[in-house]
Amino acid sequence: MSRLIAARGSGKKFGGAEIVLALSIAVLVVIVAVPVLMILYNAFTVDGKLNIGDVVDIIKEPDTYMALRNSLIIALGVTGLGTFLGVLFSYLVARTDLPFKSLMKLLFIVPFMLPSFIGAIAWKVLLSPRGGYINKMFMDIFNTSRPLFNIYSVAGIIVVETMYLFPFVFMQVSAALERMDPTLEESARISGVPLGTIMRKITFPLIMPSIVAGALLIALYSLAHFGVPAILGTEIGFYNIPTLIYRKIHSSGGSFASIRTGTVLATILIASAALILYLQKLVLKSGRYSIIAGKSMRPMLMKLRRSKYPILLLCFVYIFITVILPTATIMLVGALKTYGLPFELKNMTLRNFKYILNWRMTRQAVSNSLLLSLGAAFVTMLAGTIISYVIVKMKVKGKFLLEFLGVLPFSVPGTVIALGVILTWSGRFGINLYNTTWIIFVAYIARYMAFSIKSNSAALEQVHDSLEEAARSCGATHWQSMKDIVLPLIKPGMVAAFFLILLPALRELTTSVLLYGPRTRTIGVAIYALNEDGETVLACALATFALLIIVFGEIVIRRIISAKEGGPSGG
Amino acid sequence: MVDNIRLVDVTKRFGEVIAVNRLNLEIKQGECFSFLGPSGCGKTTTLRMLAGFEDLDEGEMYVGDTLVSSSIKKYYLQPEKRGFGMVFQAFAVWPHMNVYENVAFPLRVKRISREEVDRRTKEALANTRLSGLEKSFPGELSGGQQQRIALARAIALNPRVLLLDEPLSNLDPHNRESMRFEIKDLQRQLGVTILFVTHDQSEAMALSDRMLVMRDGLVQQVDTPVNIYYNPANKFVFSFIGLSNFVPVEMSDGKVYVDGAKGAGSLNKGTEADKSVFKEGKALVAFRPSDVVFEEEGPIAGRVIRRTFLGELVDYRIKVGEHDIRVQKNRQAFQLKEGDNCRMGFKKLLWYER
Amino acid sequence: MAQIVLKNIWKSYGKKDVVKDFSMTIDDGECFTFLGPSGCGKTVILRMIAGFERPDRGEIYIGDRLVASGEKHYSLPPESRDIGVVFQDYAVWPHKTVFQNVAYPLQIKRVHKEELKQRTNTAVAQVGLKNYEKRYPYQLSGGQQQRVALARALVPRPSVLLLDEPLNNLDANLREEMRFEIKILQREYGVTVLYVTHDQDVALAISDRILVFDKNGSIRQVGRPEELYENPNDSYIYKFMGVSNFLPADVRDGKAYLKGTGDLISDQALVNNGDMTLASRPSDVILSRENGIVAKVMRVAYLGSNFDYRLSLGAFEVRAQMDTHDALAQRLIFEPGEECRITLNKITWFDAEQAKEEVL
Repeated sequence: MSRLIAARGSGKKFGGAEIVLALSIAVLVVIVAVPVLMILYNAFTVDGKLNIGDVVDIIKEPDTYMALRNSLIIALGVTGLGTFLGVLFSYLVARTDLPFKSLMKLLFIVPFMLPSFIGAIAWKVLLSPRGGYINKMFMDIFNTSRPLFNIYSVAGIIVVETMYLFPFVFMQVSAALERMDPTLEESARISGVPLGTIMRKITFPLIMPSIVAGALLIALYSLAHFGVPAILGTEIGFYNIPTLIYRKIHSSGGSFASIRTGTVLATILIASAALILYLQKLVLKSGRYSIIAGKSMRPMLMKLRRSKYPILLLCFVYIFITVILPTATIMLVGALKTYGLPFELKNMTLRNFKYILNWRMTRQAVSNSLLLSLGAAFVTMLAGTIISYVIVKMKVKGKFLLEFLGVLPFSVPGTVIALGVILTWSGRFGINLYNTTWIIFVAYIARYMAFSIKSNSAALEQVHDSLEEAARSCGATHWQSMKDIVLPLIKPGMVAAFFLILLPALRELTTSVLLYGPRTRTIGVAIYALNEDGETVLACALATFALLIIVFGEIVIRRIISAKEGGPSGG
Repeated sequence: MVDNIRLVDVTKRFGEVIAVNRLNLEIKQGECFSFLGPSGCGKTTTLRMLAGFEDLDEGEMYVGDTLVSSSIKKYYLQPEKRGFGMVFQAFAVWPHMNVYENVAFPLRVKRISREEVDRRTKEALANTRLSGLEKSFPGELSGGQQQRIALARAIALNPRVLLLDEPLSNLDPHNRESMRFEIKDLQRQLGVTILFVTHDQSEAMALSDRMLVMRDGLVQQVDTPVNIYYNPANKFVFSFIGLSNFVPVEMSDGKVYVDGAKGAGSLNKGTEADKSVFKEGKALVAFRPSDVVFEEEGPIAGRVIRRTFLGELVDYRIKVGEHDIRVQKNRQAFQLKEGDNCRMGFKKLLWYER
Repeated sequence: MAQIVLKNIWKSYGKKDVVKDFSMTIDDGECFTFLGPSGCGKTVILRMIAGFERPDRGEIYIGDRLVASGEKHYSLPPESRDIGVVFQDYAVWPHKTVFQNVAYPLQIKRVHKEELKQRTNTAVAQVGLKNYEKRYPYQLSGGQQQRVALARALVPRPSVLLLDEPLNNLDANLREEMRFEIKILQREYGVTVLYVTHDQDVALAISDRILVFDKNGSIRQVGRPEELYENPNDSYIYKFMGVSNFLPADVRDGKAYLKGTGDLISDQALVNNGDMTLASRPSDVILSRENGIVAKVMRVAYLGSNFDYRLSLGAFEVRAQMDTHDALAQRLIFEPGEECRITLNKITWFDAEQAKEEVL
């Protein structure tokens, strides 16, 4: 029992703590555990009986194992390339005398905020083998019929995904490099060790856990990534697991056989995600050296000397290609009179934007997305706060179950959650939410609960027990100390959780694409569907709005967070 | 060859703040020299400039006849080429290498023969009482042991100069004291020059042949510990170096009284006041709590308002007029009770302007 | 003001008994210290008195009121116990100013606005933080934060003040200063204080009475600071209370010889014949050039008001401290390697076997 509550109850079997615990567990079981269990149940049973043979048959289908193979190839490629880029850029930003470093650091994580499927549409516009603007230009100039680069390819998918996922490694590694005690390197220098050797023998071994942790995150996400392969792969009949699940379910209109194939594929996704998270835990455990600085000192910087400006140029070119070029493309295409026209002023119009604003379908999509993400963010934030309080502050038997359920969604890809939600909320348990916004709402809560718990737990861990105990000894009751001390101190964590859910939910595609009905499209679904229907111009016009909303949201959250950092902080 | 360290007009600024202000200093070879001062006084910055981690804004630094840093010539010998050893406050031992590797790694880089590396590593480990722990990783060792690894790593290189940046601050009190002596012993044994940066005056006094007291980037005094304790250059040095009493005094008819306490007696009995510090008949007198003697014939009268038993010492607070005086006596010495009246004499008085 | 009575307290975590049948009465208005190594259970007892933990067995009274009983499964919540607590990590609330921190207990008690303001300001001034009322904790040093915690604990005028290693996180100079201040505040408020620490310097300076635990959580001695220092029950207490020299001796008819040598250390050894261990403090070791047994100077450290010597007596090491003025006046300054002679001013005798017990 909680130390605090323990002191209050007098020998009762069920105190307030147990009730809160039971409720929290109940919420997580219904929202998170049941959908996942439903997938496993449906994958391995037919008519209520265990049936492994069927599972093997499904995996043996060429469709299925090709998708498995493709998922693996993409994951490996993206992880390799993304880790390389992430380490390279984080080292440049953290440990060299490169100019404009703080700006650069900001720009390198911009891709993280942008929806990758919108990027994929932009790259389709630029590099599709025949119609792509760059390819066309290339073929015109060099008078050839071979395109410069075919984005409808494995390489294309890997490159585009890498652009959006490499910040995982970049952020982890630059944080490690910044936190690392500079004297660890200085002590080697003063001992006469040359810089190159220091980098190889001291710096890299020490940040290796961060590199691996970041790389595994990339692997986790790319393995189950839907947007980019859906836009760039489907065209050439290239499927990975999530896009295959989507195709099976969509083409069959939700037949039992297709759902069953889906559950088997989903099971494989769950298993590989669990494996990746397990590996990450191992790595973090074995290599968790304490390398955090005591005094705040500036780390020594590698002087780039003559290569300084070429490297700077390289960084800017990279940022131009990954951030500015695709964003500009989307906005320009959104303003074209007809898709395929050259970008000249006479071909430009604002008509598409007006059309989008007035069209019922897109208006509905925007309002759906806004309501869904605001609602899910709010509910998930609150539930996450309560659950985190139980996990961090209460000493209750059985809370390990909460911890497990809390982080479970982290390892469950969006596609799998969608599938699980379909199985759970389509009337099997008496509630049918299918084709309503509620089913997406429930899925969002399940998908983002881990974010909320993570953010809230971090905030609560900063609030040392003695702060609450001090309030109790000052005469405050348990409730008063919650209200006056704990809540004000974790408010920044709650706000962060809210935005951490709101922003990804706004641009979400993977989950809602499996759940939407005629009137319950989200922004992501609407853009995706428009693109599928060949309405590239309208898709880009709507994507322009989406980007504006997202950029606005990011600016707001940054303002809020930096305002908080200036003032008194927790702990 | 004499490897004296010379600092000439060394100045370092961080933005508006002058961290080190025109520092001139010569440290003799084989000397154990401390930089003492409150945090932010510029002592660590000076050490880091010597190590080559910071450039100079003005001035030059020499080791022997070799120029190692010069602001005018924009010449800075790389830290790895200076042949120094350094020990840091946060240990800075490499957590992914075991004890042996930590010490051997810098030697290996130097392309010394394998046998030589092994011999020197083992010798350094033996000198720092780490033999037997070769295979342990730093994470498994105590703070004191980790700092010994750092020390072994530094001495294995046979450095000309050993730079120690608050090496004892992160250790517990017990380890701190014993490491103090170990460092001193090593210095004697190896004859290496030691530069020791600390904010702890007892550490500096116990270790140094000579020491420098610094404040706001300016040198206050350079001297031996005994001279600094007994002949402090100014009020700051006096108060920084140990427990101190400052009592305002006034002069009338050539006699010195505690402010507003003429009745308590005159201070000049037995000692001579430094008249030059009196401005309009007012000045400050300073003395250590341990320099007060309780004696019946003492010149100043007071009353014990608090007596605290501290073990070896007994701590008194004595009221003289409106002023509190702190006195410390050995527990075996003559004792007073709270409320007792007493008379006091002084072994040594220092005079300062108000 | 109230006395604290602990009756047969038991407390375990899992299978480990942390507190075993502990009984003690802390008198009204007394400053009482629990002194012991970490893990001896001293903090757990404090937390049980505060109400953050409950005893498995036994009873706790504050004043005449039963506040906890293991057998009756009864535990009064901390907010109803009329106590103040100061924690090692300060535990000042980072989102409240100094004034708001200190005023909070009065606010909870719904003290009238004017009185609240006046009492808070008085408390803030008493801990020397006048003009800091509007600051936030992150704008204060560690010492200042601990003063806020102290003011906050005292402002509701509790009958008992519990201090859990409050000076641990402060540097040596501040610690030296604050221990006197806590004592002054205790006298002003007349509050009963229970102080928990592992630092004997602080315990000696602050306490009316000290209880010394060993690492198993057993009580080794209870007494006034001077009693513990001058008349320790056993060698454990002697070692715990300060730097000490322990030498093995052979005692024959009142004469004590350093073991294995013929050197006479004392001719007034009024103890049993045979193997004994003698203990003395560094300041009781008198150095001279003529009198006493011969020792060799190993190291000298100048500490300002005194010199700290490490001497070797054959295989044994002895620490000696000498007042600088005396040393200079009597020309008694020795260099490492020199020979000197020592006599022991005050000797405490222990049984040779028992004296082997280590403190930590």
